[in-house]
Amino acid sequence: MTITEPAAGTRELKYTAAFNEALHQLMAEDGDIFVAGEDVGIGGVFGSFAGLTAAFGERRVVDTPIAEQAIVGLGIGAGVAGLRPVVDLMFFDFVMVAMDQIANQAAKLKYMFGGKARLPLTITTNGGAGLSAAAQHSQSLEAFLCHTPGLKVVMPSTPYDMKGLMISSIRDDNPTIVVKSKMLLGVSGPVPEDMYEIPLGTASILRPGEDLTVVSYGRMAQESLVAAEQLAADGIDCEVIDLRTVQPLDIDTVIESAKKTNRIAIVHEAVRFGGLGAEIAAQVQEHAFDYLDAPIGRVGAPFSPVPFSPSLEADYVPNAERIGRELRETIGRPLPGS
Amino acid sequence: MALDDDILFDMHRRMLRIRLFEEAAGRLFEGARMPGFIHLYVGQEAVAAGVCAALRPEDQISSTHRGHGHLVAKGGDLNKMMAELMGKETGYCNGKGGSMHICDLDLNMLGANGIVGGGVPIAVGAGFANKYRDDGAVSVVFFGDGASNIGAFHEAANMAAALKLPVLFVCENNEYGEFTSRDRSMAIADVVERASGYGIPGTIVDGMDAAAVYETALEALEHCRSGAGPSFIEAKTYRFYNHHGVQTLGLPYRPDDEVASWQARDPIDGIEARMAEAGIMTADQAAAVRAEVQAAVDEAVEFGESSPMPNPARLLDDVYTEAAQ
Amino acid sequence: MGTVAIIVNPAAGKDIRRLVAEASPVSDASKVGTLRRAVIGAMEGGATRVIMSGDRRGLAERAIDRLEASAEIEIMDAPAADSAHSTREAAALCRSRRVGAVVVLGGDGTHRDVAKGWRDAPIVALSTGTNNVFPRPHEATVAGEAAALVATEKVPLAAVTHRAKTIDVQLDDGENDLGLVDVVLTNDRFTAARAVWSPDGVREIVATIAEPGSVGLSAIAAAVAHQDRRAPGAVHVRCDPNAASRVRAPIAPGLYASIGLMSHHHLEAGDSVTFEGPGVLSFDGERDRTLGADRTATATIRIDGPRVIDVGRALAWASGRE
Repeated sequence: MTITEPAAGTRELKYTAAFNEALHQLMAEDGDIFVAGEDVGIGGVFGSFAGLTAAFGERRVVDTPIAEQAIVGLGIGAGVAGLRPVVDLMFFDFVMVAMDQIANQAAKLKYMFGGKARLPLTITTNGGAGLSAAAQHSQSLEAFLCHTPGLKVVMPSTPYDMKGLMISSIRDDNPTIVVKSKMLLGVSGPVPEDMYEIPLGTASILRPGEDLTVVSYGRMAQESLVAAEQLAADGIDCEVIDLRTVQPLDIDTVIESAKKTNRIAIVHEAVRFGGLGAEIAAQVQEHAFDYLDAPIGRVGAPFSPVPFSPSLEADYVPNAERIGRELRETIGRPLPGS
Repeated sequence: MALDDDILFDMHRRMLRIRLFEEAAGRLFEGARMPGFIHLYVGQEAVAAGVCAALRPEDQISSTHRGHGHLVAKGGDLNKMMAELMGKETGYCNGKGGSMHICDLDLNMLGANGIVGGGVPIAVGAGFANKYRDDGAVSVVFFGDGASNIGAFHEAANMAAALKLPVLFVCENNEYGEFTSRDRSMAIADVVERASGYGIPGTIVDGMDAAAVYETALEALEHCRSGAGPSFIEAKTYRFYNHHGVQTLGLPYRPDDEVASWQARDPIDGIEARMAEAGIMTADQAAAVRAEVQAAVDEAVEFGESSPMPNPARLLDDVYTEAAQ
Repeated sequence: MGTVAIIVNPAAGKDIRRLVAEASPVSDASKVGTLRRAVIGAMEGGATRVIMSGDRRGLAERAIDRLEASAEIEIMDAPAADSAHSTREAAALCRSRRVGAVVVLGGDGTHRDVAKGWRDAPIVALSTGTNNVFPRPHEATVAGEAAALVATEKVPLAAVTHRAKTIDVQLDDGENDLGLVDVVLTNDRFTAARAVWSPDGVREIVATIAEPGSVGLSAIAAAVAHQDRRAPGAVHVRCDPNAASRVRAPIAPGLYASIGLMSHHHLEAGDSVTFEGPGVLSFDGERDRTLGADRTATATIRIDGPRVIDVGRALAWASGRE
């Protein structure tokens, strides 16, 4: 997948607005789509659902009790019964509250029923640290979800991808979790007015390069891009791949790049131990071992809960500077004195 | 509130289909001709039969780990059921679900469920779809006294009430959650009291009397269809067999005389006696129905046993729905 | 000397009419609180002994938990299963133990069961059921006190009671039964959900109480005639769904229905009415007996039921104002 050229009618939209525009357009197009969750009626905690009640009414924009299991169950039952639900869990951390409904019910329904069910359910949520929201409102838990067959997990890093991936996710007939990155909510980028889909399971190459493949997704894809530009000043030419969807995983794009650059590092905000970086590293060595000139690098959060204090949190979450330093290690060109 | 003859015959047949199917499944399980776990519904037939006889085809039901009876009562195909219990290709779920995930979406039976209470939020979601489409259908959720101790039940009951959804909660209080008695698991005797806490009108019914269940279900369904929101029935019932498997007596967690006192109120004997007393059905007629149902069950066993095991090439099918090309 | 008994029906207030009426079932917690207040009142009224019915739920045990008791409290053995039968047995035990007064917590059905166990029991009838024509609303505290005043003979029983009427039903197979408020023949064939909440198929009603404010099938009788609970006599009504003459009545809590009437007439004490099968006989709102084709049952009005203590009068007497 190459970098997508902005289409006609493109203007600057914030990440949240792209999410919101996708919902408006989809709901106008398909009467079976409804949105349910805590506070969605007044627009949701970050304004993601703004204007939907005015446009579509309370029948289709449903405020629910604070009851994550029941919210996801509402989506499952309504989906099996023929609707196309979008349910919101507000914070990624709250996914864990609803994990039975997500992992034991939604993910397996089709398989357990011998293929006779269709579950066009989209779960939206906000993930990641950076707002001093502390240990229960800041996590990146995608590895839990990706480990469960039957789910799709989408983590957009740009307003453009947000709109296209939301449209694909909602039109998809499988339970799909779309994770917005809280630190990207206010970031702007070009977004076409018309509806368009970005196929789930296709990575994009944010920056082509020859020396090192950097695989990331969500907010860390953008941080990795900044790091890559900084390294370019020192003559290190990184290819930055934004996975966009982490389940299904576009491993082919990753392996193809690794074979070209012969070096690879994976960057994510989630805890490094048992994170997606481990899975990607394992697959790369399975398929491209002979191409590798260096051990595979992994950048992630340390093995601790997300701290509250802004200074601690800044140390905890990877950023461009830290990513750059680790990428230099991977490529064997550490900064002098480090 | 006269129960017409058709309804009585209908419930009698539904109960017999459940009973004889379960007895056959139990024998197969005992004879190691059936894999996995088996949670038999024997003893509770009047609940599934009474409720399902009161349903319209478009009404959904959601079930539990003890779910065979609900699917049979909703009109399930005995052949596909037996084949599924045996893990065969021809089963309802192509051998991928088994006893605890048996379902028939065409009959609006949204599935048994291996997680206690896990089906309750899903049923509430189906109720939401009914209200959204304003199609008059009711989503009925069967669950046990044990499930009423789980958070998912409480979240779902509250949501159904808050959103005024057409959901009928049917609690089959069989006095035991697995191997622990109800009175050791909760400080109340009537689960229906929990409905009050959510503002859901509810009632208790004798779950060993299909006619009583039917009448009560009709009333409760009418309430749901009227747009008034959910309603709740607690059926007092009993499972004759162990939580799992086919043992009846000599279990360490329940006294034999208690089992006997419930068996004396066998729901099938009960409806047959009442129909005989009312001059609706003779003993010969009852025996003829029994023979007919037994033949169908025997055929189901034969169908299941003669069916192939699933094709290994299909192991990975149906993890996802592929996009239509 | 001064024994008060308190009988509670654990199953009262939970039948299908709660659903029809969109009412919550009467919870065990609520019954426990009512019981406790009745015990406190009975002790205040001077009872030296309080006997409480036992049940599988331990309502009595919970009611007296950590209660500072000035009377001896005894809880009857719990029956093997909670049923109408256990209420009857509790009442019969009270008679054999020469209890001075019984506080009954329940609805019409519960009071009927007490009368079946002890026909002329001296009772304070407290409404905690679904349909409450026979029992009256009282705060349990003073109900318990009134019972104790009678049981200790501080207040003479005869001065503060009236004799309840009964409808004695003799079936042609030798069985007999009774109702306190109404006995009704319906076109049903099964007792099914037991409570009667549908006007369809109601054929005949015999009601000893037809007062303004009645709810239940006796309300149909109250719509065409007046029969005070304290006055002798009863009302007999024949219904016909196709009749031109119709009345509207609250036949269950929260449920009004229109019923076609064929005829109604007054019955004196001692008068009888014969019901002809097939059908189902309901007693005080509950379908209880199926009556086959060619079978009959004869209902006779009598004035020999429970001695019902008037709580207000008992308290007034004790304070010297009556």
